[in-house]
Amino acid sequence: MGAGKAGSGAPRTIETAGLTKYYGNTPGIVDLDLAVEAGEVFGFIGPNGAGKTTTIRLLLNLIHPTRGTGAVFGMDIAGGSLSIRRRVGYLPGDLAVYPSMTGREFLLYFSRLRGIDTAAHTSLLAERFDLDLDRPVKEYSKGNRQKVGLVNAFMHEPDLLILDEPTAGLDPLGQQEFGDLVSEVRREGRTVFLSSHNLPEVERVADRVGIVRRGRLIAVDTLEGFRSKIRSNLSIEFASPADPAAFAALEGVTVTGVRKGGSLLRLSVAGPHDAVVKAAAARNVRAVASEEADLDEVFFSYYENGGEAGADPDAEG
Amino acid sequence: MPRADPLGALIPVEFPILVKCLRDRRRALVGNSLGLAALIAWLGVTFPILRDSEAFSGFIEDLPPQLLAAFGIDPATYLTAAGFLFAYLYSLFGPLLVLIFVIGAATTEVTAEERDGLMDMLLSVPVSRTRVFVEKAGGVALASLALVGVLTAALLIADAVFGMGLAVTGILAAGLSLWLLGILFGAAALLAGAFTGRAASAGGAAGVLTVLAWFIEGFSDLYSWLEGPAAASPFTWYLDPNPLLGGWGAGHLRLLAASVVTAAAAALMFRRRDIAAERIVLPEKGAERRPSRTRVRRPRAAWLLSGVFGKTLWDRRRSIWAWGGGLAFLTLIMFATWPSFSQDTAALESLLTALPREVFAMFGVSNPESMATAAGFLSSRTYQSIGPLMVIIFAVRGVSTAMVREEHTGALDLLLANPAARRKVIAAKASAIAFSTVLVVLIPTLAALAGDAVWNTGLGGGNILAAGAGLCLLGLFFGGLATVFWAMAGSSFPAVRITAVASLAAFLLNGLGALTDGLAPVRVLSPFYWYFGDAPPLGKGFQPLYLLLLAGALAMTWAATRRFRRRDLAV
Repeated sequence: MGAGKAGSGAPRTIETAGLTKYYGNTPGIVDLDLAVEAGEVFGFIGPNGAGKTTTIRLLLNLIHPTRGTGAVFGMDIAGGSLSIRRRVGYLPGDLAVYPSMTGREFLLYFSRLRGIDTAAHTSLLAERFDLDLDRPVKEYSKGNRQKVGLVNAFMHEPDLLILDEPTAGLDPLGQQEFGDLVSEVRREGRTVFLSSHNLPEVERVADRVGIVRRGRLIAVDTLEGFRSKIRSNLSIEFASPADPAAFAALEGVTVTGVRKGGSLLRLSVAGPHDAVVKAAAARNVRAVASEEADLDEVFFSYYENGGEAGADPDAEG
Repeated sequence: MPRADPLGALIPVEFPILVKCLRDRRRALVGNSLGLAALIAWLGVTFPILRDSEAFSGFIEDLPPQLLAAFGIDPATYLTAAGFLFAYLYSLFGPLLVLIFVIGAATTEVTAEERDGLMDMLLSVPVSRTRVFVEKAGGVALASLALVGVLTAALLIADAVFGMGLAVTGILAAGLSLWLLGILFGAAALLAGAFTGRAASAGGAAGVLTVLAWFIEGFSDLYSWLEGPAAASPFTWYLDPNPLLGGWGAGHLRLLAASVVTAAAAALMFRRRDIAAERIVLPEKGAERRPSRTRVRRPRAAWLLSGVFGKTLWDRRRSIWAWGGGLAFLTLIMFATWPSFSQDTAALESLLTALPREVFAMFGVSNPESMATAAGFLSSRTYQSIGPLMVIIFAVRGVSTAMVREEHTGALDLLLANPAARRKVIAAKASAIAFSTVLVVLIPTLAALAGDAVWNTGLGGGNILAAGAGLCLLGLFFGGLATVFWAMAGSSFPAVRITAVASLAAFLLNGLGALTDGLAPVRVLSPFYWYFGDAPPLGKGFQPLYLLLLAGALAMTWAATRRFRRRDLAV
């Protein structure tokens, strides 16, 4: 994957090749190969210190890569930074505000820096977030401050939104409004790159997810893709006792429980459920319950086991 | 947004960063301008007294030129307005005020946003780093131009009112010189700030450079080996020849060229800088590291960080070294120059008698004759003017960072959420500030003891220790005052500003009260009177009045504790 290569048609929104940042000897992000397509919502997940913020700050040219390249909208992250930033809305993870300004002054200041008039859209967004813009920012609660940051990121309707922990400190209403905004942005064909360790949030809004671990990207897939790769739990209740061995013999299936005298089987299944369903169909099935793996489980399965074999050469133990 | 919107004027379309920089400086500009105007009015009143004093003018011709030079006095011009203003305004107070302002502004502009995490936001907009830097540097330059403009305008008015007979072009040329000097050291602060991103390094580096350049220029008259380095000191470009008389010249060009080069280097540094790289959270446990020399930061001084007292002290450690070191440096300079003065004490004494007493009173010396003795001469800076000023600033800053700022940032909430009594927390913080003040005074005291031994001033260790004790107690007194104001209001305005004004007023009350009959009865209320009054601290041992300073400090801390226990936090 070559960063910024004008391959087939329009360039990817974000593309990096071997992007690496060390702080002294401490790795921020190492050998990151990432591709985010236009119009998708990409969730970048991992625990604190995994390298999410470093990646974002590299994309914005706030820090400079130790090696490797990156491109946004097909433009180099260093050389084209000015043009990139013209089309990007950014919410920092560690949001700070000028304490002496009101919310309106703060947003006006940043729209003036962009050289555009965003007043109408700003008011609209503030209304949606139920945010009083005419109070000094220093009086804002953490959540309201975060809302100012979100309005600042969305107000100029950028082609790419880079959001670092966007819902931190938001109340449930704010979170819902944020989710709606992201959906609208996607419908308009714009791109969202958001980092988070709040997995339900990512699950709600993201099309694809990248898991970053100790400075390395260890897996990228759609949510469906992740789910299909990890084990899920199935409970099948039969009208009469069934033979557990018949299911245990199927590939990728483990019998984890036998109840009700053998008429209720609990199975752990890796991959598609097809074989299990076909085997069950030979009998009289009363009920089937499937517990779908949520992102938490995906995440922990990758995180603790290093994902699929070979996905993480640095896995310990 | 419609044109009529008042915000439009505050945050303009063109140069928003520059305008914000100017707006952020407006309070400091007003304060400094008032100070400058008052200073010039004072100099304007003093000058005719001096010029018309026959005793003084006759006397000045008899003095050895070298001695006069050490006082910054050029016998050919001292009795002209140009010479007088050169000695007091352009060599001393003008640069002092302007440089503190410019270095402070430059440091804030280049480091504060990064410290507060705002630089990420600022640099995420489509504005190049060069432009951000140029607007910020331009804002600092314009703000300092405004300050120098006030000085120049005030001087033009004083010239007319007091009939000083200065050339208008001279005043303008001197103003330009002073502005360029400020720009140069401001650019130095920008460079250091762009390199490290830290306010302490930026302000510290520029401050140290300024003091060094000033000393090299000032002492090159006394020590011939300093003449070479002095040629490279920006203060020489600025002061030689007298900017009021020299007109437009090479000095301006040198200052301008050096400023441009320094600012350009700063801009390059700022462009290449990794913004706030050290703010990044530590990596997860087990993250791979580069093979070479892994640096792990061990917990430092765990024994100190085990309580509020230790933590407060630990936070002050750099300040203690910086302020104590500065005072020690000043002390050693005074001790080192004393032998050359003491060779001709008779001449020195007659000079001191001939100078207007008001001038000395402004520097805290109400009894100029004492300056001809070792105790008086050596007390004048470390114990009677710059020293007290620095120790008081240090103590008040301690209150400002350990109390006011912690309440402001919410750290105090966190602290008091622990099962610790408010009384104890305040007591621990106050004693840490007191202890750090003791350490700050201890460093110059050790320097004075060494100086006493090396240059044989005959002061004696007892006198030096007593003077140090008084100095420390004076600092604690005003630190206590700041604590009371903070405990009452919780905001930095009264704690810092009112204390500053109160200490300055008390200082002048002691000095000028000695000369003005009406002020004499109230003069005894000034803590500075309790400390030095009319007699240099180095010559009088431990005074019972020092206990009044101690009692005052204790009483105010006690009152502050009581008040603080009942106050709503951080509202």
